[in-house]
Amino acid sequence: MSETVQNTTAENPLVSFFTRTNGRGSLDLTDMLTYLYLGLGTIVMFGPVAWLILSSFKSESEVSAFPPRMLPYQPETIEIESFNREGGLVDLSFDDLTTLTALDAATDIEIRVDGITSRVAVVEIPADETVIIRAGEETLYEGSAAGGTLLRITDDEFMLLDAADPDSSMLFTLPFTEADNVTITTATDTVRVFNRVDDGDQQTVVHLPQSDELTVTNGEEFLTNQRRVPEGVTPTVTIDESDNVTYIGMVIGAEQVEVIDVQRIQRSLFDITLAVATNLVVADVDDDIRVRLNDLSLPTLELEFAEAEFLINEGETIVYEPDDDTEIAYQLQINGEAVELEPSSSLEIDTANTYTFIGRTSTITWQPGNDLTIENPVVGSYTMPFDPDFSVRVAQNTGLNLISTEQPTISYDVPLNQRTAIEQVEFSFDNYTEGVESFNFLRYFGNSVFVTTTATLLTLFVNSMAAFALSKYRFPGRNAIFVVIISTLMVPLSVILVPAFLLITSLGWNNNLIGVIIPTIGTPTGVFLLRQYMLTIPDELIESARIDGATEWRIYLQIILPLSGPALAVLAIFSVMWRWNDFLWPKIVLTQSHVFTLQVGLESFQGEFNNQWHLILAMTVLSLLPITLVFAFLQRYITTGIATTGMK
Amino acid sequence: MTTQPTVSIPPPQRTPIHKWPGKILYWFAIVVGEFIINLMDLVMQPLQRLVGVRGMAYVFILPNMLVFSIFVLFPMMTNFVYTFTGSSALFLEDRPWVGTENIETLFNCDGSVLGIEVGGEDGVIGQDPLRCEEDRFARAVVNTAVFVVLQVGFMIGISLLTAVILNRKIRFRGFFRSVFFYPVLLSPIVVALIWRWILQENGLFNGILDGVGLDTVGFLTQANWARFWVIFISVWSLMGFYTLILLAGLQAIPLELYEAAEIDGASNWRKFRGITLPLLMPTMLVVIILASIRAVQVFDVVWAFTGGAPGSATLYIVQYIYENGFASATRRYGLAAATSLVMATALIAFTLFQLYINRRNALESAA
Repeated sequence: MSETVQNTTAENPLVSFFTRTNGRGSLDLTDMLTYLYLGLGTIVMFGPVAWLILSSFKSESEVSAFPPRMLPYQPETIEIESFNREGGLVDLSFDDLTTLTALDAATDIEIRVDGITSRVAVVEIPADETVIIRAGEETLYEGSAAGGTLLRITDDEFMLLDAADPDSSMLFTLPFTEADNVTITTATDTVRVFNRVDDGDQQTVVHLPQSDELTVTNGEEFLTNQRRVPEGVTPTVTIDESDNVTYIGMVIGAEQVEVIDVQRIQRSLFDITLAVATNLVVADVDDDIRVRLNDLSLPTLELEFAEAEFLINEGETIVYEPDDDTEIAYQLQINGEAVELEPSSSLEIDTANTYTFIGRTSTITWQPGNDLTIENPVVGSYTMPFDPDFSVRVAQNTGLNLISTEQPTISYDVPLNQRTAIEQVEFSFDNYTEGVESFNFLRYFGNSVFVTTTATLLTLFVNSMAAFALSKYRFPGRNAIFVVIISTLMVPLSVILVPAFLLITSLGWNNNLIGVIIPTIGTPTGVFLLRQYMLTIPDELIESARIDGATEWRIYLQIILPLSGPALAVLAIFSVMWRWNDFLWPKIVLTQSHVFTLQVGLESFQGEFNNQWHLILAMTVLSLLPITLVFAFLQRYITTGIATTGMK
Repeated sequence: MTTQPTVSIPPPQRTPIHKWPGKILYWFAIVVGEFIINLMDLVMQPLQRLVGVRGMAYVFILPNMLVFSIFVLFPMMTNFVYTFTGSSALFLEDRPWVGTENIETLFNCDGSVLGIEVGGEDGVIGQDPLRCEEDRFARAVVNTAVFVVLQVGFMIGISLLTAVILNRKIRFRGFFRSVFFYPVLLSPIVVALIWRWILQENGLFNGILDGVGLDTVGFLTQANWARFWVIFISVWSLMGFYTLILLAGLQAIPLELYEAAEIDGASNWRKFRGITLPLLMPTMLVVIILASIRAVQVFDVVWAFTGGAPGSATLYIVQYIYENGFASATRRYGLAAATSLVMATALIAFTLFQLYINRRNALESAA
């Protein structure tokens, strides 16, 4: 295995590389092809691993982005400077002028499209399921939802949110007349449709059986029941096609206070200016009043009660238009005096007056030109700016919303097309830190190291003794034993799985690393390899040792073993490779995670975190790290050692 | 050329003896080692007196044979018992005798899958209704057979090509050898995850396809693509090993043969056909046998890569055993053992066939 480097003593290796000759003038075609092959080979062999490592440093959203980018980019993040949960208010200060205040509690999820506020139906579609959306006979969409969400926004608008790529969400406008049905078909039983009749609180959760169809008929109202977000579920930000980012406040259990991990409230920065024609929507606690600041350059206040609407323009009139047949559940006060309004009546706004709108729970006070004050017994009181130049540097959160319990939310509808993400190439270790919370790397690693070293040492010891006996002694049955061992060379452990499992179970070695180690140590390959090598050791050495009075044991330990060094090294390399990478047998023996080896642990992890590639990638990198390091330091010994085995 | 000053040869460097900690440790190890050996000898000496020098051979071989008999030979025998008994009980005393029922179950297929085009246009889920278990078995057998033939074929071809190229006078040979060998060290699970990540719907390859304006491809959801990639990644992950062995075989060929051929004016191709291939044949045979045995046993990489999907397009025989014996709700050990038996039989027949072919080749070339 000599590295034949020719006559290049003092030259620059690169120069000599390109100018080296093959006995003729210069690099000939064959040389070129050779290096082309080697170059391509390097890409094919190393590229995937490099890609894995690069990808493992990407953020969760970037991992699922398509098309993928080569380097990991992270949005620039800012820490939230203050986090004050006192008084039930969330006070989130950003590094610039903005203060996010006063977020609404108990509202339902709202999806806002172009300023239309509507209640929505949310159908969670698991990844890799086909979704068919039909309106009457016409098929509007058929394809993958990739773990997306189907939202019914208004009576005639549906939106398919692609979880992997929110930007590519599709908005369907259905001719949704009374005669039409909307059919949502998925091929799974995990689809959940949350159906709620709007005017009550009654909820129906429909679990669709496999291949069943959900038929939505016009007139039914759908609401999500994600008002209570189950523990462990991360609410998502949805970005719809109509260029709006909606920040949705979610409540995790109205009674319990969810402790927010401040560290997780890191947000990426977007430069957004809320300028003209922007809506700022505030909803109060029981969702009976919604305040909408239309077009902030003109101070227009729109109050939307559960059943009625006010439109107030500074210096203009109040127009009061309740829906038919509704019971009025609010009160309007001017300077503290109750005012009764007739439907379709109007009222002139005087900037000197203070207007108070009293809803079921909240009270909104507004003096034209001033800030808006919203009071709520649960939440406390808070104000929001009513400022034409109100501009905000909005941080888009990456995975977690503004969440608080018993705390209010503000939703900002932000035009997406004014948004530029501030990104930089940055390697994020979040995937690693988050991954090891459920992937006990050190334990798995420890188990693997223990299994590998113990099994290898035992293999070397047991096999070398057997090889010594088979190569240096003549005894009855020797050939028979050798033939039996050799013939099992071609019978792999996988064909005796069941009986071997019976043995392990009978011995009580289930979930015991011993059960992984012991059955593997009597390898026929090792015996064969070592025997062939020991045959080359001259018998005279043994004879003279015997004459000197050495016992057989001493001969084995002090003569045979040292002389078999190279063969033992090769077997050790093999054994480490086998045992480290073993999967099927450990998987059968080990079913509890505390005894998992790295391979079993990784496989189980990727099964558990099925689509969370960002975590899987990071843990895969961790798993390949140890063997890669070993290889980096010992590659010459390993490759030459293995190469010699083919030569006997 | 300018006159060089006379070169003074430096005195030979002695290993520094003043490093006392290292020295102490060294002697300490020797003393302790000696002590342990002597201690063992205290036991071994009377033992040797008891059994004699020849008897010691049995002592030496005992541990290996103990493990070997318990965990290899005994299970091989018990496998027969499992094959001919039924029920989902693990312990032998609870298993009723059913004769050849398990084996018959495997081969009794009315809707023979062999009649259905195995490559199926799409092979998606649903095309493989669980009408009869035999369907899956037959599918697994056919899949495995196709896999073994193609995988071993590609493996040999690519390994040989790589070995020949690495055997040329190239720079950085050690580096390139390591590059091709590196994936061998990766565990099958890691290999599967790496490639699943690349081939998934939003993966790198589809990104590249998208980038050049082509439609994305469901690499893991279309049956034939899935089969192709299973072969590809198994070749990718193992070829380095066989390349190394073939490379060693190549380097053992005496250079004089090539020089003689060159004098005779032989072309490169003729040298390859006339010298390299015949002299490499013994190594090739080892590689083919090793690769075939490994290919028949393919499991873990596929298990983590496709899990047999789509449908049963990449279901191979060991996975079939694993599913029946260890992953199904009612453990069907009998069926698993019967499958193992069939597989072992095939393996042995295959190896014997290989040896036979080789012997005939050897005879022919000798003649």
